Amino acid sequence: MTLLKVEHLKKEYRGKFKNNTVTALADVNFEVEAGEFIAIMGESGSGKSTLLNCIATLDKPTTGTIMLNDEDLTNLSDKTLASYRRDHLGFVFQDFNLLDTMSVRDNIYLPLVLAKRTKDKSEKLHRLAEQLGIQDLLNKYPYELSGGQMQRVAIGRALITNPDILLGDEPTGALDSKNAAEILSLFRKYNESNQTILMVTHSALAASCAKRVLFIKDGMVFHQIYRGNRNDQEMLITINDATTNLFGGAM
Amino acid sequence: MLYWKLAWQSIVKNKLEYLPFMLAGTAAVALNLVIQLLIYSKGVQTLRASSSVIELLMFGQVVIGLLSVIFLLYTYSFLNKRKQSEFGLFSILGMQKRDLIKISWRQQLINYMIVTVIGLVTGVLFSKLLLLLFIKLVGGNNFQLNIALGAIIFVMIFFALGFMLLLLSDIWVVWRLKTISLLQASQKGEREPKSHWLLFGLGILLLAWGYYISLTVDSPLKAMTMFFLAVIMVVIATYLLFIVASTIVLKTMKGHTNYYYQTDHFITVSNMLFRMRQNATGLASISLLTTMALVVIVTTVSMLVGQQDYVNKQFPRDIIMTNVANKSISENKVKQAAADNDVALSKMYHMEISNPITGYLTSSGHAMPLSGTAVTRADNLSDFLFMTIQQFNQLTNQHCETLAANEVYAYDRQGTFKNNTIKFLNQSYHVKKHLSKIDGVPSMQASMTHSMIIVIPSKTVTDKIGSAFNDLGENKQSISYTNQLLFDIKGSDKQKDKFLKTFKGEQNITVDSKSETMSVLKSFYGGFFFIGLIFSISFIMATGLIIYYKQISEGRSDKKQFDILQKVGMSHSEVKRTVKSQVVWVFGLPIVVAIAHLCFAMPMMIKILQLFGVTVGPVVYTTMGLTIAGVVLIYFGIYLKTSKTYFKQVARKY
Repeated sequence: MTLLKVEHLKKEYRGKFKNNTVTALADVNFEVEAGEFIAIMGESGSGKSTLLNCIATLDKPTTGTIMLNDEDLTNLSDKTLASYRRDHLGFVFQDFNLLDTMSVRDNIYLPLVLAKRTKDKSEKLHRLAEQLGIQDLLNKYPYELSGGQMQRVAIGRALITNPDILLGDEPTGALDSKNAAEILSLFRKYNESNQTILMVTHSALAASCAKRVLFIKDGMVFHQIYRGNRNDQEMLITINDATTNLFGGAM
Repeated sequence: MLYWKLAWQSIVKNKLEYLPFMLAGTAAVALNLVIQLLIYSKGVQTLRASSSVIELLMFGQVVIGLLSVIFLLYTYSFLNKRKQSEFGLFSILGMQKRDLIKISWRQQLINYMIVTVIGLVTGVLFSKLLLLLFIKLVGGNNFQLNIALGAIIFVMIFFALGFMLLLLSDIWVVWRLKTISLLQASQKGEREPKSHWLLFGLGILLLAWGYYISLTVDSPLKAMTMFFLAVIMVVIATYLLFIVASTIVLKTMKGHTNYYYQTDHFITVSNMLFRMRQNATGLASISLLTTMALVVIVTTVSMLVGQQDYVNKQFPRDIIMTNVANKSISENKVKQAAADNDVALSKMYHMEISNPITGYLTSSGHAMPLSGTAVTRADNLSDFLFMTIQQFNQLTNQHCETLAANEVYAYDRQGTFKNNTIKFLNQSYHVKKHLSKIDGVPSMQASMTHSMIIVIPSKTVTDKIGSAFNDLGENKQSISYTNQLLFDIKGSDKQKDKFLKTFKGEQNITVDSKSETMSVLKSFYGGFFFIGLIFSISFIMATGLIIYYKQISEGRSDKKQFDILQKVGMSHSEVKRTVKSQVVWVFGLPIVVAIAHLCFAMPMMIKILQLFGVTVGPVVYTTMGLTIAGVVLIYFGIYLKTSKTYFKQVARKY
């Protein structure tokens, strides 16, 4: 079943002077099946973050359509965008984006409270906290946590609404290798229980956990690798080869 | 040239911080100039009581001058952080401290030029209007304003010194600048504040105590001494409660999960919890300053409005002639003088009343001579005046009232004496009646002492007391009577003056005129009111603006937080609601507290005003209501603007 369908997506930024436009995305097409785990790779400035922001409805594409569950996100009104975001999407950011004024518990509750879906919130919280190994941190504040712990809390916040798709923007970008590996194994675990995940990364190691890797260059999907039967090591080598070929190993 | 350019660019770049500073500076310059121009103006200098009015304005000048400097320093402190990081950057780029100071003095010079030029222009424009108001209030008739060079030079020099001070603070910043700390400057998370129940209890206790004092104080004299105590308690309580109670209340809100986990409360409560910690002292100060402004307005208005009433009480008739030698004033002689000067006299009457003697009045109603040990507390002091029943009957037109030899009527001006007997030396008198007023007796001049008029059956009572009462210097006070002649007068001012002058040389006779007293009081209270008004209005505006800019700079640092919230799915209308409820707290709390303080201070203020001869009537309550409404309106306007700007700052495009 196709969950997400991106067609002829184009995003141009207009500069300060009228005839100075920058094309971030030229023509992006791809589909995501439910239950997939996709990594999007590209050089900085390739438009991968723009692509994610468009899917996340944080940015509006110039032309093209993004269909999630047969609903065109580019047609949503400003008013419904916010509620769509919190009901259907989950976010994990590079810099965690937790609220310093709230405890871990309240940070995770946040989307539920915003969506006014606070019924049996504590069962949901405790199930997630156990899976993420943050049961003991619930009463702490973000500044008391390590990077890896913060990212786990962020994952909890993203998943508590049971989103259709989990979007990650360089989720391991700010973490050391040990914590990065733990976060990736969590991603994989949730994917195995059928959570669709789409993440943007420039780390080949992170991408090697995904089932499919899309490469973006010059604002287009240039290449893709399916995992098939490769193990992590083989996948990593394949990705590294591809990046060397595509980007001259400059990543 | 480079330095000028850098100095100018930094001002332009940080205009959000510079604007409130410049605004405060401009307003301060204008205000100081207005007062200076008033002092120099023909209109003020030709007033009858010009010297006392000018003295009053000088006093206002000192107060407003001091406040201007404080405001300037305070609004400039918003800039300090910015300045530090900017200077830090310059020094990383290779500038020496000497160079930074070169930029700094140029900046201050630019600030000074802008502030004084705009301030002087607005000051001149406004002074015309304010002069009209001022002259009207103090009862003058010359509305001429001359733009005195001296005034302008004074203001320019004064503010040059003020900006020097700011330059010094800049030099201090540069001197202490450590580039490394700038590079490491990272946002550190703050711990959630703790609940301090003990301090909370102390705050409540002090507040209740302060309020209780004001509510229960019965005599004006006590009010005067207790006022200070009550104010100190309420000030401490305000700071304590703002700091401690806000945390406790918010934490309680947080504890009620059904309440807390609602979209509208969730963000506000958790934000406020951290915000209050940084802002509590500021908000408490603003509350107290607002209270002060309100109190100043209410008292000055009461005095302005009450002066007429006060003078009317002091002068039952237009003219009071007093013969201190206890000889009645010859009516015929006065009437002859009136006829000579073409003035008409009417409603003339005589009055004989004793001079006051001072004694010590116990709570059981025993009046005793003063002695060193007896006078332990000033509020036990009492002045006694005596009047025969005969005189009383004449004044009140009731010829039938009689008193037995051991009976008296008692009239307590402050209304606190309620005993059934009063004892002078060893002789007890039964108080047959407590009078609430005696028509036709001029009220005494405002004084701190408790005072009573005793209506006695005959002068034998005072003869018996004789010279037993002494003043504090152990001098004997014998009770003597004075004779007064009171009458209304009609005629031109010139004729009246001439008529009054004929008595100038008379021995033992003093003449007091109502209109003269009135004009002196009017210039005094009018001037007082004017300064109070200007002071309060500029104060309320200034505090409002300070909250505005504080909120805006907070909005800037909250941008990240609201960005996260919106990414996670907070809609625009929810952001708007959250911002509004956050800002309304910050604006509403000081005002609500200030109003509460004012209401509880009123009973005490009314008592103190009584000491100055002002009875507080409906006019004062109306002004109080209007003042509160005005302040609320001003704050509400600034609040709307604030929440709008704040929202614009934190709202995402999508």
